[in-house]
Amino acid sequence: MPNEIAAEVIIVDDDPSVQRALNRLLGTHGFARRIFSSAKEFLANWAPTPAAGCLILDFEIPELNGLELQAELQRRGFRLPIIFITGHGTVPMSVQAMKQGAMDFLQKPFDCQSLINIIRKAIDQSRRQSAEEHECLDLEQKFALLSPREQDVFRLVVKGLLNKQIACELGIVEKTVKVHRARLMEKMQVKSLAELVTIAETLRLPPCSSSILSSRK
Amino acid sequence: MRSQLIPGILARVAFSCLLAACICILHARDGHAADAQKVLILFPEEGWSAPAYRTVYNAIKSAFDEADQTQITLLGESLDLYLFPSEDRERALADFLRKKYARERIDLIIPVANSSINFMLRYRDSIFPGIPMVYCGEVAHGNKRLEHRSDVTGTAVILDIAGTIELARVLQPDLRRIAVVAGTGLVDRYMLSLFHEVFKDYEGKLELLDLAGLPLDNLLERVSRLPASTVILYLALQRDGAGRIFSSSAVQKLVSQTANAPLFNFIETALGYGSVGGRMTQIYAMSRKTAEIALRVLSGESIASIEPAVISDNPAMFDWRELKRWGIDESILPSGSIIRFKEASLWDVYRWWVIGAFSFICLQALLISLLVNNLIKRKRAEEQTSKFRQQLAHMSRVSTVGQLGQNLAHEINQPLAAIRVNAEAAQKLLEEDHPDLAEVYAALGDIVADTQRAREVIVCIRNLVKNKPPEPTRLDLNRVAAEAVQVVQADAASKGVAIHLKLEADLPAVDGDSVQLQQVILNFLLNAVESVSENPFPPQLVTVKTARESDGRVSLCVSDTGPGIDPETAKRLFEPFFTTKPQGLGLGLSICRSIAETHGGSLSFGSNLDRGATFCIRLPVASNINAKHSTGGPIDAE
Repeated sequence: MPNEIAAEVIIVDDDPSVQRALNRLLGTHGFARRIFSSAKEFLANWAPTPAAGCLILDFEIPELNGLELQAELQRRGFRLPIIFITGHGTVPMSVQAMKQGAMDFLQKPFDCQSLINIIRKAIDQSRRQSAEEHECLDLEQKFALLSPREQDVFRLVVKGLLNKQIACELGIVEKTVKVHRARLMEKMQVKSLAELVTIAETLRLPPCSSSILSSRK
Repeated sequence: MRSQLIPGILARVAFSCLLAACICILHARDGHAADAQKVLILFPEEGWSAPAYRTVYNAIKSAFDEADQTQITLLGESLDLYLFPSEDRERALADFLRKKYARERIDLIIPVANSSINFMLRYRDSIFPGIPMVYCGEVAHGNKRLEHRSDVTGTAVILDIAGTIELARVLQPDLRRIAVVAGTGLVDRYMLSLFHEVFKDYEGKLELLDLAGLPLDNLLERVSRLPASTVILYLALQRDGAGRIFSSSAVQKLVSQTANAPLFNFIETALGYGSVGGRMTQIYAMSRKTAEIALRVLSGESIASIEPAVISDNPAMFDWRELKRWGIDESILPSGSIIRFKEASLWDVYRWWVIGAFSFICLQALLISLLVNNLIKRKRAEEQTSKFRQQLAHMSRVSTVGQLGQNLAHEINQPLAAIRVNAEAAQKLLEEDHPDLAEVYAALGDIVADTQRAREVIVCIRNLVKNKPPEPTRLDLNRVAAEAVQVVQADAASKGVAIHLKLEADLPAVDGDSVQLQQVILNFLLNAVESVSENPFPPQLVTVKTARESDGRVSLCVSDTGPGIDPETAKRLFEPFFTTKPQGLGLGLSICRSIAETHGGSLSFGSNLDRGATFCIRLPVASNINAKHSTGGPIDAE
């Protein structure tokens, strides 16, 4: 399974025997693994890679605990699916973890097959997320190449305004609007308005506020 | 000038004469005062040695001494009247006395007893003309002729013969016979006549055995075989039937010793010479009274104005030794009886010593038993306390385990998880076409190690929960500390607290109970973790440090980076039931201190320089003897 080989499972657990056991189990399922003993060690030595992966995080680790590490990762903007494992998880802990977007919350000793299944699910999610992120990044780069006027026209076009209306909004002649529109379609590599709207959604472009436009005037 | 000189000389002469006269008067007074008054006591017979006369003399002498009449010279004269039975001889005696005292001024004469009194009444005018006479011990029977004489005064006594016979009847209820003993002397015959006068009343009631006038040998032989129900009434014996002269009291004693019946008499001074007793004529009181009268006369009182005194009270007196000899019960004696010569028994003499010693011993025994009882009670109380302490410690441990429940679950779940994961990994490995057997083997090895680890956790919990008496063994404090840290590690981690161990490598062993010491360390650790978790600023750190102290003891200190202890709390930290935690019992530290103390150690705490607090337990290093076999270890001392 080439997909799985490409994925990387990160284990953060301070218990050496649990580390070794998980390492062994995941090895037999052909996952690539990286192991850390504490949140600190993990944060110091790990950088996000484009490769898909997931994090198996022991709740009770020294200094920064699991929940805190999860929060820290979110703060840093790393969207790595997290599977919590705990020796004595409580309901409030699991609720908090799930709220913070954990993939799952497993109580030790756990069923290995379900762990493997969850890991797969997590990797799938990661991979999907990664692809989306990649696409998004591409669009963002393209969008960044547009001139400011073209970006303004982009925002107004996807709002559904006609060329005449856009010209009126921006205080330019309709012909110029047509030129900008053609240029941006070309730069964004799209052929239809529908495609442009989809990209706008992906990029979560803020609609052009009149204030911004008015300030431009 | 001259005319003035003469009266001056005259005055001087007159003054000198006056002075000389004064000196003469003073001298004369001095001379008069220096002249002692002389009192002559005249004893009739038997002389000074007779007990009665000795008593008379001593009584009068002591009365004079007491009256502080040091000026009185007491002279004595024994008339030995039995030597002078005829009037010629009496005159010769009087003549002798007159010549003897011709140059001597006598101020007062005291004739003693009837014969002496009679003699002096006859011869006073020729021997001691005009000298006042105070007689002593006139027997007041008969004509009582002296009562109405104005030229003499003195004391009279009553001889209570009848009373003495009555007394004998009381003491001997079956009394049928009276053996009367008297001599042939003047006094003897006088006494006998008095007796016969009295005995008239007893004719028919009592039989009279007349032993009067016998020679002494004969008398003694007779009294030794008296018939039953007989008492001897001893009157006087100064001269026996054979004409020999004796001391009456000495004879009385002899008679008593020989007799087979009790002897009675009625003269106080003869008591003690073998007499059981009798209604006693009081010689001493009589003599004192005589002396009193004599002193009045000497001080110038007129004899005519002094009424003769009669000593009419004749108390019942007994000789305790004779009562015993004849087996007479003291309880039958009339009330008011006087018992003399009571031989004090050991009990009588040492009664207070005996009572004292006995009381002392009793008190001591009581004290000892009280102390022993106290000791037993104390021992019991101590045992009880130690039991309570153990139970309390156990309770506290159980509560600790309860508090750690989640973490202990984690401690067991951790190896269990590892075991499961390893087992499934091994299964998965074996499912492969070419299983990696080395990896399977490694997984199985890990499983074995993890089961051991789970077991250790369970043993640890079981020890904490088990309520067993403390068992002193030789311990490595580092190991105990490490185990305790392992128990709280998960709890600390979940609270984001790191525990650092700084254990000294060559720590000497200590003697103690591992469970109890672990309890102390656990308590420290839990408090520290909780304290640190209250403090949101890093580092959130608990340090466990063991060290060898300079005083040779071993210390274990747990420091935290928490908010520390405020002084108000610090004061009450070791108080039982003092707690700052809402769910706390407040017993943890007080139990810990008691554990430290039973281990011969101590507990202390302090605030850290930067932040947080440090709690330390200090324990003595194990003794050289193997602690397992030692009976005097710190735990046993409890």
